[in-house]
Amino acid sequence: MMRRRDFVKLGLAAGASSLLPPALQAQQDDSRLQFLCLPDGLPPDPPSPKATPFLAELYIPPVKQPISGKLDPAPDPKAHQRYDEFLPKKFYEIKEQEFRWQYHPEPPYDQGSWSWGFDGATPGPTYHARYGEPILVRRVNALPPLGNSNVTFAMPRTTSHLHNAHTASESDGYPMDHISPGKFWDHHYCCFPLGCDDKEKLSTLWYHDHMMDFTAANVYAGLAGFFLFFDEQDSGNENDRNPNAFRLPSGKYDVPLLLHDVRFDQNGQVVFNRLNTDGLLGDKYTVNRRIQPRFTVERRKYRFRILNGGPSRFYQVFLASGPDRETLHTFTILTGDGNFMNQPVYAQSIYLSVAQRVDVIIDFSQFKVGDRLYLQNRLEQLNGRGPTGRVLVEPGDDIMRFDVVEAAGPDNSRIPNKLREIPSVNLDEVKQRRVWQFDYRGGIWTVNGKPVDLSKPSAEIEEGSAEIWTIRNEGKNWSHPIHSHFTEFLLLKVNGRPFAATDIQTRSPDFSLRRYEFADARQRKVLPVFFGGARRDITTLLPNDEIEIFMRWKDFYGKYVMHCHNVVHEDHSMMIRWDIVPPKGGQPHVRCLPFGPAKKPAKAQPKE
Amino acid sequence: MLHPGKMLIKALASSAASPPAMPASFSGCEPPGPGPHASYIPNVMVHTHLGRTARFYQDLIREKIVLIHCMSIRDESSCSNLETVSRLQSLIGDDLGRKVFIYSITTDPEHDDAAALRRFAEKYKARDGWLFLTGEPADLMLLRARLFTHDGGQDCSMHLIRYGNESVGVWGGVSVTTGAESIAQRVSWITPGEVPSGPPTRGGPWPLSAEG
Repeated sequence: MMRRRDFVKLGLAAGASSLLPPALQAQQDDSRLQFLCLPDGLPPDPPSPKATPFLAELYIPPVKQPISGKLDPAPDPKAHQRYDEFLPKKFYEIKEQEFRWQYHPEPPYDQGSWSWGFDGATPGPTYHARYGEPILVRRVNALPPLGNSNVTFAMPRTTSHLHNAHTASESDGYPMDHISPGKFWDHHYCCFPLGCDDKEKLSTLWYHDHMMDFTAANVYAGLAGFFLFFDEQDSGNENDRNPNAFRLPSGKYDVPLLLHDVRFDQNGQVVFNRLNTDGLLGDKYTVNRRIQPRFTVERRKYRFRILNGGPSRFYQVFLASGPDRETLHTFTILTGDGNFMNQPVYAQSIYLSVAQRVDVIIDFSQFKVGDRLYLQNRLEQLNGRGPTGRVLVEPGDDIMRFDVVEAAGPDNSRIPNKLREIPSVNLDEVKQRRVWQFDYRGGIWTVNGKPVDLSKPSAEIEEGSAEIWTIRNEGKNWSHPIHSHFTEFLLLKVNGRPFAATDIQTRSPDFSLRRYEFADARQRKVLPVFFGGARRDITTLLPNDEIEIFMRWKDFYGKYVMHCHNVVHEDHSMMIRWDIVPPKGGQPHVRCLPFGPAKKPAKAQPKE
Repeated sequence: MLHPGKMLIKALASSAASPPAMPASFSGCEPPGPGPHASYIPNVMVHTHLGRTARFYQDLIREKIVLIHCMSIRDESSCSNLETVSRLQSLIGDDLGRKVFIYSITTDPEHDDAAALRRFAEKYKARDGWLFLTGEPADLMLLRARLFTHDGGQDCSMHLIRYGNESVGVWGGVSVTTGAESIAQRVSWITPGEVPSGPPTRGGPWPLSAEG
């Protein structure tokens, strides 16, 4: 039997068994696990039980519906900033629960894997929200208390973050705002963009647990789902008669895809190594918590919202066909991290570090009935610290399959030539510059040399101001997707190279010494890979990267966090707290009122 | 199932960190009783500052609530952390030594033998339930690799406290620099409490202060 150190001797990549050839995996002897002092070092991660690809059907979460009556007890307006200015128009109630979830129809998965999720499912239901329509969500923790649950690696205390909405601190899912089973937390989502600027609007968001020390475990257990913003332009109606509407594919042709890589034990139960500080790689690709599913698509356009839900794997996704996946097809990309770009961007592959997401259009009318397309990952990753930098050639790894059938009716959807303007940088607004160094020291992940300490802010940011942050990866052996709550950022520089508003970060198709190249989106060329445009909420730091970003803070006060979204790193200390505070000296920032003050009803006039 | 494609090898591509050099010998390993991490946390022999020998998983971890961290007598940066752990004892109260245990594992077994650790423990007023541990260097390196650093080598000098309830199988990590109250809070998270009954009650948010 091959042992770990024999792989090293042969010069093959050491690390997770996810790249072990299938034949060798079958030979692994699980009885080795009873010998605790393995001379080879870390025990091998046993492979998950076999699951035939493309047997499971894609699960599509339902749209979350508001309640018809009132919440009892009523929300407390005094607990929410600006509640009276943004009175909720819809109310929701959602429950965090434990249940069995069928990842795949074959044994042992068919009996169901114990999971956590929302309203009995994982991913949870998808919220459809509209700008201009504030909502309130009452989230009930109905999980079994500690010691009573079948999911034992996660913590039944929860706090839910809407990534990356413009939200007051008390509704943002701050890591220490957790609740125990039997409690509820009200989240007030005002549904307006930062500074009431339409250019600050977002589209595809997701909600996920953010429990202190346990974000990785709780999200891995199943506590995540999609949240989609719509407005007059991205209206959610491909037949919209409003001339301003984009008329992107809508309804059942607008499909969210949440990617998680998961590992299972021999009984088909989800396993999670709580003592791993590097990051965890699952050996089964799941989409919406089904293992390598299939999805029947009509010969027409679809909008897919592809999100890397982690915990630690980076992806470079491709759309391929052919028995050896030798033919690649182009993605039409509309958004990066929920931010529309100025116009669609075309690319052969998309780089997604953890929590990154893209909206893409795939037009299946270019294929024939019976054709099969494969969403693939080709980015090599051997351990939780980050990808190696190598991209596999065919056949690659299949994530899911699309099976093409005839269109049921006419396709009235469109792909606009022009999407949205992004906000511009204004250096006159900048009040502070800060540097954040991300490193690994003495067994933990640090920011500016320190472990996390949420008892005090590492930055106090004046409301109404902007800042320039330099985010630096001090290591050459690891990668970090860095995320800051509350507001998006605009890239100013990547490794010293200025980033223009129309730039797209990509890579040369031929190998070059430069890690990145930059293309002008207006030229509409098909790029080899899409890393992102100018506006994002995840800064992907590959080894030794340094990225300079511009951010604005407006409209609310309170505490928030910035952290690595390889959430195993976050849980082992890679996080800081920053606060929005009133401006120092001078007048407070005048806040925008998108809806105007509430008006009293006019008195009835006496009849003549 | 993931499978390797033919790899396009880039001459200058970065490679994964090489695994740490593993120690040459291990002391008496024997399988422990069952537990969520029985096959992961080593059951190596350790020596306590009280002069006793223990099997690490079977005697010290299995079915217990534990907090584990690294220290050494010569490492001055350990001092303030040990004062924090000393204060933590009073916050844990009577549960210490009955349900909750604290283990301080030396990274310097060549110098920190049981007698030296005993004097050290007295300096920090260690009560029953707080043990300082030493042992064979190879065994302690393996403990550090499994509990603290995974693939990152043997350095646990930033003083992560591993906290866990091995009856349940839930484990977390917190830096000792966050202070005794913060660490005690973690102990409450992993200690089973009352089972809630009745309709859910408000957990937050709460009325904002005047500045909020």
